[in-house]
Amino acid sequence: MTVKKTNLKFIVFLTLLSLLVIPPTLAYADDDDDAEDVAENLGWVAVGAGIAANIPFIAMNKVRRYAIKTGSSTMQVAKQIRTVYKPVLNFHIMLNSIGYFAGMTHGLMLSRHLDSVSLSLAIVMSVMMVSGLLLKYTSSRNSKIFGKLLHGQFGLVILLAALVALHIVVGDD
Amino acid sequence: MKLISIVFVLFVMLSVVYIIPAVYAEEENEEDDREGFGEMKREREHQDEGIPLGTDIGNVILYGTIAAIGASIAYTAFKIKSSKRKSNPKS
Repeated sequence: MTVKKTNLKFIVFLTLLSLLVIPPTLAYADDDDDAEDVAENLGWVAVGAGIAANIPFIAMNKVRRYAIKTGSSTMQVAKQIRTVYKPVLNFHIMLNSIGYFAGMTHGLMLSRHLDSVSLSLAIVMSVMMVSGLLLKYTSSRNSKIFGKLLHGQFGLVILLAALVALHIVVGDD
Repeated sequence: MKLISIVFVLFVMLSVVYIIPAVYAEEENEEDDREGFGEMKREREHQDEGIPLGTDIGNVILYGTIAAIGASIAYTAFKIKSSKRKSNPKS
């Protein structure tokens, strides 16, 4: 029953993903100026969603870990954070999904200007998204641990931030 | 019930992703037409953009990224394996 439900979720997710990615490229294919403006704005939506989704979430996790490490006096803070963890996690997932879809649509619409920074950024974003999905939807213990370790790699986060900054700088020139 | 809420959230996400950029794009186009920036934009399009694929810097960035991802996946797998070995010293 649970496996069926998970499969259904995946089907819904993949259907919506393809619905999101394919129509804009076709709809704006004839009008270059409109398409480029929409694509540019989608890029900013992706950047904004990424910042809003990740900075509060990472800060909350750091504070929680610090509170647990320091001991009994700050345990209350850790407990309070625990109560809001689930809604913040959902917010993180939702905004990151928006950012990912917006970023990928932006990339597909501007695929004729493809450069190495954009391609690298798309690869890193996809790795982060896949590891997040693995973490959320897999039931196997090993896959969950693998997803958790990969998704939380500090190096990948730094690489992603650096590529976003480079992409903005190169795109503005 | 849960599935309906997921579909609803995804629907809201889709609407936000489509509507907001389209609205802003229309506004920007109107401004561009008024102030005559349209031609400048078209001229800019003909110039080379970004760091093209196949150049030295481009290859370094691309292969560096792929190597970093490969290394982090390998490190993660190694970490899981070593923790398993610690918990099962016989195997």
